[in-house]
Amino acid sequence: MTCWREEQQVRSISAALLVTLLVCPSGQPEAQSRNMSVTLIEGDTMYTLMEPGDIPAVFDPEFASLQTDAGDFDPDEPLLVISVGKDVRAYSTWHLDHHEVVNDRIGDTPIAVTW
Amino acid sequence: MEIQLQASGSLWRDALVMHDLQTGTLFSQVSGIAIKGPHSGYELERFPSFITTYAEYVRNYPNGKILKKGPGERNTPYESYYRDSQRLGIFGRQNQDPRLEGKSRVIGLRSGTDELAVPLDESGQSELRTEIIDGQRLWTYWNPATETARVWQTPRSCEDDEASLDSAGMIVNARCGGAWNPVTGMSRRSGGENLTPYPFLISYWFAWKTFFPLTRIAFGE
Repeated sequence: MTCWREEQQVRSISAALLVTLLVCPSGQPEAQSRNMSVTLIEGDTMYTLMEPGDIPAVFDPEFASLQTDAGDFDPDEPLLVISVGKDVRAYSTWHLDHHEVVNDRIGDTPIAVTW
Repeated sequence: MEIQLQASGSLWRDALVMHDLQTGTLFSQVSGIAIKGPHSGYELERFPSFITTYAEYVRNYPNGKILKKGPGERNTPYESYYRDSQRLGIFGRQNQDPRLEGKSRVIGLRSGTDELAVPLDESGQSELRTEIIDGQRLWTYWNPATETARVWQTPRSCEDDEASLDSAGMIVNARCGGAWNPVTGMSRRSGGENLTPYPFLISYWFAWKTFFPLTRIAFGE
């Protein structure tokens, strides 16, 4: 959790950024046909191809037990894993590629899982 | 204030930009820093995680959980991009530092103003390296056969000695006499201290270098 003070008020953004990779072409093919806008940030161009939420994030993640109904996963399927005590959970990166962000919670700590 | 994040529909430095639904702030996925909006300049805390394969996860964490998939989410839509070693980013970015191939993967480590890229040998043996980032001694573990990467904080009692992998694939350290599972960090000794994970990023080299131009490379310099 990240907390900070600003203008005498305690404000906190309590989304911990989990993770990783990697610069992949988040712009999907259908986006190419839409208008693209550009903004300069710190000297580098930010390309806007879609609207926020066009790639649907996960807000209410549901988990399966490996011992019961895990479903169909390839043995070589890459996973992103977090492990805190006995709370261990995995997110298929192939699955994350469809959503980009999963909003989840470890205990009381909100996290964003992104690939 | 608790926020929720989603894909913004924008790319910056060829990487995902996340949109905060509560305030509209935009965060870089790679740096975790807010680059535009009411919270510009704030940085999200990085939470330790690691990568592995489904088979290896089942082997090490049989009681673990996994996020349920929806219909049509069996495969990645980016497979052609992952497989194309020449394509760097959606708009064809140049590799700014040819010491490594642009699409080669690295373990990216950050602490303070120190940044370190540890290249991954995709075809070699499992390896354990001792690296120092901003004065902190870390063990980086990579197993190309199981696509598993982890980074551990070195226990204080082991700090002055190199660690290695024994014939069973366990992390061992002669000075402190410890032995740990490199994937779970669990001590092989009953009552022994387990390892503490350190946050890291798996990134393509060209992307890591774009975000962290002053980065060191762990070897090959």
